Amino acid sequence: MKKLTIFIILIALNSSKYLYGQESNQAFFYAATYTADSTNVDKKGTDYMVLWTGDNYSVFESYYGFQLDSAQVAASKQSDNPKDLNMTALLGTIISMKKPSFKFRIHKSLEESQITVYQNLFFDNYVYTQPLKMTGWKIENQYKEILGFKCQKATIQYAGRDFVAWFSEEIPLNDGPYVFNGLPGLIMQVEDVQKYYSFELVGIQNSSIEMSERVLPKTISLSKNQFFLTKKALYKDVRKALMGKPSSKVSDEDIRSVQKRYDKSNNPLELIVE
Amino acid sequence: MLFSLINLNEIIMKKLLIGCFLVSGFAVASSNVEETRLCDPENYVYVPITTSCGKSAVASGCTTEDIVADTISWDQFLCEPEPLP
Repeated sequence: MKKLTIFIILIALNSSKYLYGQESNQAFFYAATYTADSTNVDKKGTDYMVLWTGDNYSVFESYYGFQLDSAQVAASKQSDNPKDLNMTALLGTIISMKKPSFKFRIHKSLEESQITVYQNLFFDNYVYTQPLKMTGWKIENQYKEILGFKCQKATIQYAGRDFVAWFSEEIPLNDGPYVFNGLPGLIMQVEDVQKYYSFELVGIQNSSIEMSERVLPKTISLSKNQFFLTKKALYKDVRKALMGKPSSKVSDEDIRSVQKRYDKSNNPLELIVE
Repeated sequence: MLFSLINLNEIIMKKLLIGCFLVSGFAVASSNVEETRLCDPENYVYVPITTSCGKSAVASGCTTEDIVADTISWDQFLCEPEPLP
């Protein structure tokens, strides 16, 4: 009888995991660098990323984005009606906080064999999916240490770029930064051979967050191809991003200045959308 | 009333613009933007903001969450030094 009770409790606990989402148990922090303009390779952008991992599920996102989100949730908890709050003070705090460069939240589900990418683009949020499985890893007999862990080299071609990854079997997770996964240990570092994009592990922490809540609200669902076409169209003419925005009175000079920045953003991580 | 009229004009303008876009992805996305952005004009709140690079904008939305998200978007739109490609 006792065994039956324990069995029922275990089943209930396991079911609750799916009812209430996925809780992380560890957080892996990565330093990210990117080269936005391929004609100016010395100019690098940076971000501080986190990979939340749990059982068969993970989320990869900017930690700055996570902090902003926490501030947003705290403000909404005070009141969801903006008329009840001192919005000028609240927004002043939000503006002073560090902003993410990588505006995606990448959910990897081992059970669904699927990656779901939530991405903010200008004033709207989008979502698309792609298969989880990455085929074509080549594991090589080269080793190095990262944060005291023995790491082995692996290479792969992905989205039109050649990437070099270093994974460690000492951390038995088939996961990694961005969409990278499928090696027999956590990917501690990955960068393309031209060193335009790089993610390197800089810290590990035990951490419990509700990963199912790390989504973006009010998303527009597209295919991956449609999302990249939309992104291309908006980057080419940023004025389109303001379409339908109430009170969008931005001067022509400001628009020209924004367009200039986006014209220099010409070196995407994914060159080919598969 | 004034805001309702402004919104009505913007919606008409937007629908005209959407009709002009031929790229399939962008057309799909544009048609969905209306559903995700707009709420009852009577509940709309407008908050003037000064972005981190000193430029002015007006954040708007119906909820605290909407306005905070809009503020972040405006700040990044006007000030982000190196937008990720």
